[in-house]
Amino acid sequence: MSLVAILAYSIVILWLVITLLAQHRHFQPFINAFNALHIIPRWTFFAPNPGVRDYHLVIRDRCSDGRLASWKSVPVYSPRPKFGYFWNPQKRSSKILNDAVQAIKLLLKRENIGISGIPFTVPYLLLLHYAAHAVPPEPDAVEFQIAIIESSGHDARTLECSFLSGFHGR
Amino acid sequence: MEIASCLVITKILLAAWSLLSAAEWFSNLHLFRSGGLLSWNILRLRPALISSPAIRPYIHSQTVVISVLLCRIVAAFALLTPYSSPMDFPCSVMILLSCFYMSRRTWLGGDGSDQMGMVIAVGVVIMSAGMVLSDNNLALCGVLAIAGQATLAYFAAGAAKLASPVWRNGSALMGVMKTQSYGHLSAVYFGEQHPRFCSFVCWTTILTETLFPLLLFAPPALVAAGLLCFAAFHLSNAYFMGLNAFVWPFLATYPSVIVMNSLALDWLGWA
Repeated sequence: MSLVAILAYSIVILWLVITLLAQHRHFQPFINAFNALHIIPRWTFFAPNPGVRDYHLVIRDRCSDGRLASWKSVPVYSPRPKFGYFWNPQKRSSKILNDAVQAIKLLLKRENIGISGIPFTVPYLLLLHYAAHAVPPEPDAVEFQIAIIESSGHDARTLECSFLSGFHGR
Repeated sequence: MEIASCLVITKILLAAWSLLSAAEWFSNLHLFRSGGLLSWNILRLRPALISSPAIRPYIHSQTVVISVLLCRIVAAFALLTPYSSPMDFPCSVMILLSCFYMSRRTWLGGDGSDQMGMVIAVGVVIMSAGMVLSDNNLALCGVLAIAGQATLAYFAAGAAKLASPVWRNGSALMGVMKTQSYGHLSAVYFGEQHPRFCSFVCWTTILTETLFPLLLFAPPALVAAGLLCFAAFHLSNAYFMGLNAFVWPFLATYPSVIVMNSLALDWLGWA
């Protein structure tokens, strides 16, 4: 066996072993630290807790006279196209929102971040920045806040506000 | 199956995924604008990037994203040849680098199809390098990389579902089907009328995924039947859940699984 092949086998076997370990949450914080390129995949699709909720982003303005405008939906993704089994680019926006919300939920649980540290985190800033650009402000708006609404069920759809931001300048 | 045939089928499926993923990113270019969901104005604030070189905003601009996606498309077209060629190596390297770039640039929104697409690109890089260097062992290492990751992917997905109460009691399927993101209206109506069918689907998914590693040691006819069932599984996921991009990279792992199966049977003396 050539030296190149020996080297390649060593790297591939190491990759497979680390991938196996990465599937267990015990090893994930350590592996995530050097997995910036996502070279170590996570294969636990829709498990152990499958996503059974949809996330929606909403925004409202506070006007100069202190009045609160009504909540407006922030357009994130459109319905799946008719031939979504072949062409489904809309899934990206939905996945980005899902990932950002999941990240915020995880950060809220971390003692060194919590509710007071959330406004300084990237997922929060990403949603805030997007919402502020996607929905035009009220004519006399001075501040705005966002909320994350979770919906579940089909015919009897239930809505729940899972996160409410503070007010930020427009 | 010969390694050369394995490489040809794998690289063509890699090319199909690369074209689809690049085209879908092109229709999502608005995400990369300054006010978009993947705005670099915000993503550059990631702790690892705060003290970054001044050139980084240019590297992650929308123009460079477009250039990288165009490179992926060109490389994918060059891979669409029904034979292995010396061009396979640089083209698969280009696709792999584009995967790294998009993963780093987007940070959020990646899914299992992106992960498996990257795995296939790694495998094709190694296999094509083996072909260029006439090193059969090196080419086999690429097969091991793909088959190994595919086996881990199915096994980990099945084991994680087995550990989950909502998968074991069958409610996970209906829960997912009721979402707008991954659900399907007709599946919800059917599932509500046939709750036992939901449990059957959940347990079939758990068992077949968890037992996937056994396919490496099964008779070839059983391997072919098993892989056909998994292909049907991915097609149904595409139809009901909109997971269209998963089909191509996961099908691309099957030639490597077949090669590994034949090697395992030879090694055990069961051929």
